[in-house]
Amino acid sequence: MDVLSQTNLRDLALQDYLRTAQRRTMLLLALALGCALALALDISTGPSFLPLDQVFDGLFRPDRLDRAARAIIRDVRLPMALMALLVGAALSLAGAEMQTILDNPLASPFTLGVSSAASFGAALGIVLGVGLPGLSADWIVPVNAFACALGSVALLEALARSRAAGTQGVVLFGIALVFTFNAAVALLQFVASQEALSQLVFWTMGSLARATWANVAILAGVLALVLPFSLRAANALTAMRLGEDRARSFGIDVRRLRLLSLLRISALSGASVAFVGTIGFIGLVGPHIARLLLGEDHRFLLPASLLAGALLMSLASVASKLIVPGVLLPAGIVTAMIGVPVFLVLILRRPDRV
Amino acid sequence: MSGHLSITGLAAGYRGKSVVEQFTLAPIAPGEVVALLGPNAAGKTTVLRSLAGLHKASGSVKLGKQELMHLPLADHAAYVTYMPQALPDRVGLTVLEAVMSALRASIPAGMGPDDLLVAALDVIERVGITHLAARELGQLSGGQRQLASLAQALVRRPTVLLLDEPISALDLHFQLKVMKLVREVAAQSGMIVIMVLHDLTIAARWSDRIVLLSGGKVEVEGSPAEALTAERLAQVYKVCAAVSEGEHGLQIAIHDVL
Repeated sequence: MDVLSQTNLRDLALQDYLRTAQRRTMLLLALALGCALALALDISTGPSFLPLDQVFDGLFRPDRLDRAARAIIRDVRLPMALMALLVGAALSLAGAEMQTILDNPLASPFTLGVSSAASFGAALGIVLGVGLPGLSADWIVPVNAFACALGSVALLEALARSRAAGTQGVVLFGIALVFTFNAAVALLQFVASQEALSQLVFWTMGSLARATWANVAILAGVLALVLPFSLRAANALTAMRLGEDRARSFGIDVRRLRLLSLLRISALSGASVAFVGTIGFIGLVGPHIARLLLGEDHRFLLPASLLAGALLMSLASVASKLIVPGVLLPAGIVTAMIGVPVFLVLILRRPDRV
Repeated sequence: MSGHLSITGLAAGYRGKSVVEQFTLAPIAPGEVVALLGPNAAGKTTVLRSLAGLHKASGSVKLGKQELMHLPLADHAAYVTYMPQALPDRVGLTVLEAVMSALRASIPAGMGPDDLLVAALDVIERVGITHLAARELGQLSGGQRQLASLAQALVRRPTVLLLDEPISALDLHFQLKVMKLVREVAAQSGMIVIMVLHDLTIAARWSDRIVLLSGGKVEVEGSPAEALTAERLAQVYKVCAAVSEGEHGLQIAIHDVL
């Protein structure tokens, strides 16, 4: 090839790289904008519909609204809507990291037993009243759920750290955890009183209705604490996608990376599940949507996963109020209904990236 | 830092079973290209992974005066880069991103974002895959991915480059092109190259030294003509071969299995 066409090729490659970087930034901005719109829509929908201008007033000029509308927005809808965004963001970020460090596209807090473990913890609290001593009744369930999520991640981590099992072994073990904890929850359901049973079933379906300002603040705090560490590990995680040996040969301490990542995953998924119950699919689909849109440079993939998960969950929250007018469906049911078709369309369009 | 690479008494194994024993080579000079040959399960990859610090091993690996064994991975990676045999597949990274990620994983001192981009584009051009720079790894053929993989290893400019079957997926043209490139880079930068190969003729033509490994031990070490004799090939590979000096290096014709 002559010198001239080589130079042309190089220019083309460079231009393409810069264009891609620009496109990614735009996509991230679009996702963020989508989240803002979904949040407004989420606040406006409910038993009484609030027009968007009232929502805007409620958020930024509350003195213009009457007390009832103000109370609906501030005390009921805003915490729920923010919770939807936060839970979606946390689960999707956790899923993105999990898929990379376990090198498996099916990994997510839901598919590898972290959510099931949390449900088991919640069930212990609801059915048997088992919990850490000294906790008020309100906190037994979320703290149990969090502790069990942490425990299950610790098990996955110990297995990942031991040389005995490869990443496939970890995934299989995670699936075994799902069945084990589901069986344990079923056993607790079997012995539960009528009242405890209905409470437990509602919990395992995942609902945003339990959102309070305190919960929102805690989850926001966890996310704000974890995200910077997550982003700092972005380059190492990108290298992990090229294989463990290669990543280690680039100087990455893979075991440490995996350990810290699993800690982040347990904090994110444990806190989410503790406050809203089991929300499936977001942690699996959010990262895939981000990957299909932006590729796997984790400097972009991680924030995109977070935003895609938040957007999806927020839309699911809107849908949960609209599907049956006047009835608030559990959000966990709706996430699957929204997630599957979106996922399918993306897979069919870009089969090489899944 | 440069200097000879001295490997003395390297031993490694899996789950208590010894795979490589007493692996000792004469010091390897800067710019030297060494081919590691041997039948399946001879321990070639284990030797490379041990030298890369990826596999637990005993013995001594010295680069100049610096002992590399038991060096923290990040420090080790500043000297040695390993290109595994397995190729990254179904990864949503373009060739350019993948090559840059090799640098981003541990950014060499004094390199800014633009330097990374220029260094990556330079290597990609050198390997001859500029036309693939914007393509994703998942969309490439096995051979194209192998070239991308080589670019990833080269961009780190290691003092010691370890290549595990770098041309296994390549067509004839690129097999020779890659071998030429590796030699060129070694000669220019003084990089030490140790590569596992299967093709004896290519090994004989493109390396300074052949190390024939069998059952985890060095069977013979020397120049291609010294190491690759008909008797030796019969002994190690159990094949009947005719070896002669040709115009372009050693001619090896394999007739039959023994």
